[in-house]
Order: sequence, then structure tokens, then C-alpha cells
Amino acid sequence: MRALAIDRVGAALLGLLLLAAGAAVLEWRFDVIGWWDRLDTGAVRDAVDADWFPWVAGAAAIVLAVLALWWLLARIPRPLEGRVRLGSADSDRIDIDVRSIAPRLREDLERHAPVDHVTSRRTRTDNGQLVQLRANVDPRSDAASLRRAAEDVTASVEEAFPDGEVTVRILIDAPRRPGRRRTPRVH
Amino acid sequence: MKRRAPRRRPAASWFGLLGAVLLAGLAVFAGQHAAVERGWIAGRSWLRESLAVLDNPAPSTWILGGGIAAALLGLGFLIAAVVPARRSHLPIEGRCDLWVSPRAVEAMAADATERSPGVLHGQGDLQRRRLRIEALLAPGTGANVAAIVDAVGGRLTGLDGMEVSVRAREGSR
Repeated sequence: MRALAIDRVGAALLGLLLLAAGAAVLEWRFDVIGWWDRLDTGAVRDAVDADWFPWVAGAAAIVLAVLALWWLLARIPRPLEGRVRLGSADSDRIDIDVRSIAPRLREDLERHAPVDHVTSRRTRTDNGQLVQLRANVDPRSDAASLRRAAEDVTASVEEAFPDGEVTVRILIDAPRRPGRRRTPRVH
Repeated sequence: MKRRAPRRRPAASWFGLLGAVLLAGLAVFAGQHAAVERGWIAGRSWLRESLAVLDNPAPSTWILGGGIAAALLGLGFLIAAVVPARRSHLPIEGRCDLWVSPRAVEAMAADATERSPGVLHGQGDLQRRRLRIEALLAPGTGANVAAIVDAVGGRLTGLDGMEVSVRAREGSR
């Protein structure tokens, strides 16, 4: 699920609407400023009775339904194309498919760092893609060995892509099943 | 190297989902009125029924409860709209983009505690930058807290600004 910029705006607008509705009901019940007594529903009734109103309501229903559907579906992550351009001259160009690199990086990290269950995902950056590796730590490891392994992986990526077309980020999560690993691993 | 910290999903995105469902509910409300008025479906328009309710001098208990719930939900929406997404991982210094989750730090610290001499059981708890360690010591072995702090500090080199405190309890025989 992706985080959307519209979520904050939409949440703020809906929050204000709901607060206003709640305040109106409270005013109706407790009569704080006498606004409800002056409320004239005649104009609203006339509008609802008018011939055009059902059409407007139908159109509003369609617009709202489309908005709601878009707001729901826009957060589904879109597959990211693997190609990243390394260089081009005249009519020649070189692209690299980052999808082919990710498995190697996963293997590298799993082999060199005290971690298991490495997964990867790619995100777009300014001039290429970021490969984010995520792994579960072995509780017997230490931060220094994690850092050494991460520096190795980072260095190999930096050596291959000095201009930063492909970068790597490593996130270490909690052990998957604490204390239930059967075979000890030596690093 | 300037890095953007990995973050959790912001609260606004859950409220965004809820908002989409609310919008869909509004769409059904408006659509039902249109369909009833055009004679496509039988029944009474919900919009007309709610307009009729508005003429009552005071709201029913249900409406009052609904109003209070709406106000609270609205407050929740407003708060979620401004609360920033929380950091999910802590940085480790070095020539790499490496981040460790607080739970992983706790697991490593607990393991380091349990491996220092005379400790039966260790548990870590990381809140913000404070790592609290609870250690259960074997009775009569003279295990000391400084050794535990050293062991944990040695495990977590590179994690800057971590404040480690150890609470040791001697187990009963």
C-alpha cells in the first residue's frame, strides 16, 4: 500500500465536515447559540422537490463513487519498470534491468551478514532506482558485523554504478522467530 | 551522506482508506435518492426521511450518539492529517545506508545480556533512544552490571546516542 499525498488533504477536509456535523447535532440538542431554531428547511425542501434535483443527486452519486474508487485504488502499488539508463551517445544507449541485480544483492547480503530471509523492493530515485533490502537479524550478531556486510554490498554497488544510477539501502528487522533457529550459523 | 529515514505508514493513509469508504457511503446515499425519485427502485428516499427528521425540536438519542461519534471521528481525521509518519528504523553510522529496527536492537541486546557470565535471562526494551535492559542474575555468581553494559555496548557499536540502562535482579535459589 502506498502513502498518498491526497490522504492528508482528504482526511483534513472530511475531519472538518464530520466535526461540523457533530457540532450541528450538539447545537440541535443543547441549543447553545439558538442557530437550530432559526434554521429554515423550506428552501432545502423546495430544492429537493424540484424536477432537476434527482438528476443532480444521481450525478453527485456518480462523481462521489468515482472519487471514492480512485481514492481506494490509487494506493495499490504500481509495478516499477526495471530499466535504468546508464548512458547514451547519439543513437546508442545502454539500459540496465535492475530486476536482474536485486537477487544478487539479496544473496550477497545473506551470505555476508548475520541475517536471513532477505527481501528486496525497488523505488525510483532522482536518477535511477533504489534497491531496498530488508532482512531479519540473527540475535547473536553485532552491529559492527552488520555494518561491515552493508559496507561491502554498498561498495560493490557504488563501484558498479559510480554515478548513483542504482543505490542500495539495507533495513534490518527483528528476528523472525525469536530463539527457534535450529542450525547455528557461523560468520 | 544525507539520507531520508525509512518511515512507518502515516496514520493518514488508514484514515484515507476510511475516508474513501465514507465517500462511497455518501455516493450510495445520493444515488438511492436519485433512483427512488426516478422510479427505478421502490421504497422511500433516505434523503427525504432525513430531511423530515430535521424538523423535530430535538434529536433522538441515536442521532445524538451519531453526532458525538461523528465529532470524535472528525477530530481523529484532523489529528491524523497532521501527524507525521514515525521513523521505523535507527541509523547505523558508516559508509552505507544501513538502518536497524528497534526490535532488532532489543533482540541483539537481550542476546548480549544473556551471554555475559552469570546472567540467566535478559530482556531489552528500546523507547526512543533509551535502551532498558532487565537481567535476571544467577544467585551467588557475583555477576556485575558493568559487564552487561560493556557487552551490550560492544554489540551495538555504531548506533549513536544510545543510552543504555541495566536493571539487574538476582534470581532466588
